[in-house]
This record gives sequence, C-alpha cells and structure tokens, in this order.
Amino acid sequence: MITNEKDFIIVSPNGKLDTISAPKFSDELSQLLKDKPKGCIIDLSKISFLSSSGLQALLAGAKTSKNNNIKYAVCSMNEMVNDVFTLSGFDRFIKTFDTKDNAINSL
Amino acid sequence: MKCLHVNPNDIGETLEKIELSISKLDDALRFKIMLICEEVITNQIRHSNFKNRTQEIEFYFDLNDQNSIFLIFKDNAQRFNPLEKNNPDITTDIEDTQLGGLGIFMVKEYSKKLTYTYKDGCNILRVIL
Repeated sequence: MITNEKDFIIVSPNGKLDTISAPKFSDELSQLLKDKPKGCIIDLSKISFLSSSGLQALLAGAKTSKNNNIKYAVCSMNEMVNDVFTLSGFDRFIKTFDTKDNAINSL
Repeated sequence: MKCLHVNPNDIGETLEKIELSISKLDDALRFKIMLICEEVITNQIRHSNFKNRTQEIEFYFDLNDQNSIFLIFKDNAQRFNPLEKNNPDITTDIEDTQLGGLGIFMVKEYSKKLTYTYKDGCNILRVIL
C-alpha cells in the first residue's frame, strides 16, 4: 500500500520481504522514487519476515534516495525483523524509527 | 530425521513446505529456521556449480528438541564451503556497500553450531540452533 503524507510517500509492504517478494518490491520502490518525493518512509509494521533479499531491496531504495536527495527511512519493525536489520548493520546507513509519525517529524 | 527434496525450479514451493513442517514451533524459532533455510537453499540453487549433473538438493530436519534443532542441507554441486566466504563489509559507506556473503553471515549469526563437510560427492552443511 502507498499513501502520501506531508510530501512523503509512505510505502507499506505486507507479509514477507523474502527471496520471492523482494525483487517485485524493489522494482515498485524504484518506480516510486523516480517521482523524486521529498521523502520516502518504508513502513514495515505489516512485514513478518525479512531476509537478505529484503535487505537488498531496502538498500537499493536507500542508495537511489541518497543519489536523488530524497529523505529515506524505515519504521515500525517488529522485534525479529529489527533483529535482522541491526545484525546486518543496516541501521548504520538507513535511519529507523519506532513509528511512521516519528519518522515524518524527524526527517 | 525428516527429509524434503528441494525443487530447484521453485524455491517458493520448497519454502512453503518447510514453513508448513515447522508450523507448531514458536514465532521466533520459526523465523530463524526460515531465515536460515532461505539463505542456504537460495545459495544452493542460484550460486552452486552443478556442472552437467542433475541438481539434487535435500533438506533434513529434526525438530524434536526445541532447544537443539538440527538442520542439514545437502547438494551434489561442486565442492563449495560457504563458511570460508568472507563476511560482508558493513562498515563502508552506503554507496560502497556490497551484500555478497550477507546471507551466510546471517546464517552464522543465528546458528549455535555450523559445520561443513564434503562427502561422497556432496556438500553437507549441518546447522544446530
């Protein structure tokens, strides 16, 4: 699902970000970023599973955003998804927030 | 120990079968098992060199003791020890970040014990978690 709030696009994938779903998600995210919004927030509240394929998709979005001066963050990860995110070191270069509102207000 | 034959043409089908087999375990354990299975089996299918052999990939598992889950991944590809692969460098800048090796790095992080052997023409990766 995609919504707009305060010039930000909020992308809310559902289910799993795994080897099956991540390539399609990455393509869709890439298309959305072509419009060069002020910011893009990936709301992971409905994501129950994240693998390295999902991380690659999130990283591709972060790289595109950085190259186009788009603010970029992920938010609302459950404990297990957050564990994968931090264990892989992704929290070093992608901003994370507890809630979507915190992300919008802080970016 | 139960065995699943991995369909190299449909990784989704394989992962669904595994997920069904572990449905009685708690959420955190299921998450870890699925992560390990996805990373290892994806590597087996996409990156192993089977030369001219028919791909044979098998997954064995023993879930009897939730404190000591056994997983075994076996394939008939050319010898390849994934544990010798360097961990990804995650200290670089975002532009330079390369994710090669991230999957097996995650597998190492989530396993209590991980061993590799090559026997009778097969790669065998044993995981205890």
